Amino acid sequence: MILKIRKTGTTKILAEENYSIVVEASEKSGKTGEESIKIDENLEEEKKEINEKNKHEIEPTRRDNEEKGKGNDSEERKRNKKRIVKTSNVIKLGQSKPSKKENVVYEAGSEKIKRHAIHWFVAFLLFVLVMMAKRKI
Amino acid sequence: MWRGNSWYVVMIAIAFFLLCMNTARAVSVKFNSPVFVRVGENFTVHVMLNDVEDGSYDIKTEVLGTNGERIGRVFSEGKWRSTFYYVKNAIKVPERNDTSIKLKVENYIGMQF
Repeated sequence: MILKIRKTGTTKILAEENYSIVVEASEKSGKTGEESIKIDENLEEEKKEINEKNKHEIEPTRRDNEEKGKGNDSEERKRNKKRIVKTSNVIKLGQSKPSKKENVVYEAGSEKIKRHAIHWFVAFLLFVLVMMAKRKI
Repeated sequence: MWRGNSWYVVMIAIAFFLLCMNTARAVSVKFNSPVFVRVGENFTVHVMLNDVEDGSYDIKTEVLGTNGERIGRVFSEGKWRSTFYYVKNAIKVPERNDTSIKLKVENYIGMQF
């Protein structure tokens, strides 16, 4: 998710930050708020169950392949992997993978920029000191 | 000769410092968002601005898919619109420095693993 902030009537962007969210496929529509919360609570368990089911589905296939002498068939592996992913219905956006399901609070802006400015200023001072020392020598 | 040059250096250093401090005056943003969202279901993000001048601010929250396509919808001006658009006058400082924006992700068929 990209957050952009500008002053009304202007085009200059005052702040721009990237945030990560995970988009999951909706299981049922028309749920009440209470039901949705229950689904959220059980989400991890459901994912585990789905993964377990997938394992059971995949294991016989692997055994069959081994019997046929195709145990290391990469195409078959890819197909099995695809099957797991499709069932779990988890879509990830962004780069980082959040571990918690609670809301996350991000802070950005002036503090980060101030730190950046101070770093540059210190670098500049060091450069000036080195130049002064060289001239004295 | 050296004394004259050193004054130049000091002046440049002060000017550079002032320039740095000027760039440091930026918006401080506090952003509260759910980590997991469901396709087609509404969710709310909370945005708080600090260290900003008085006035009105527009906010854009773009939700992009894996290929950079816009997959989010934002509730603005009484209807669901593409997240391409800013939510106009979302925050009016000093009356309020925070706001909640209603969003949803829909028609997303792409996947990233």
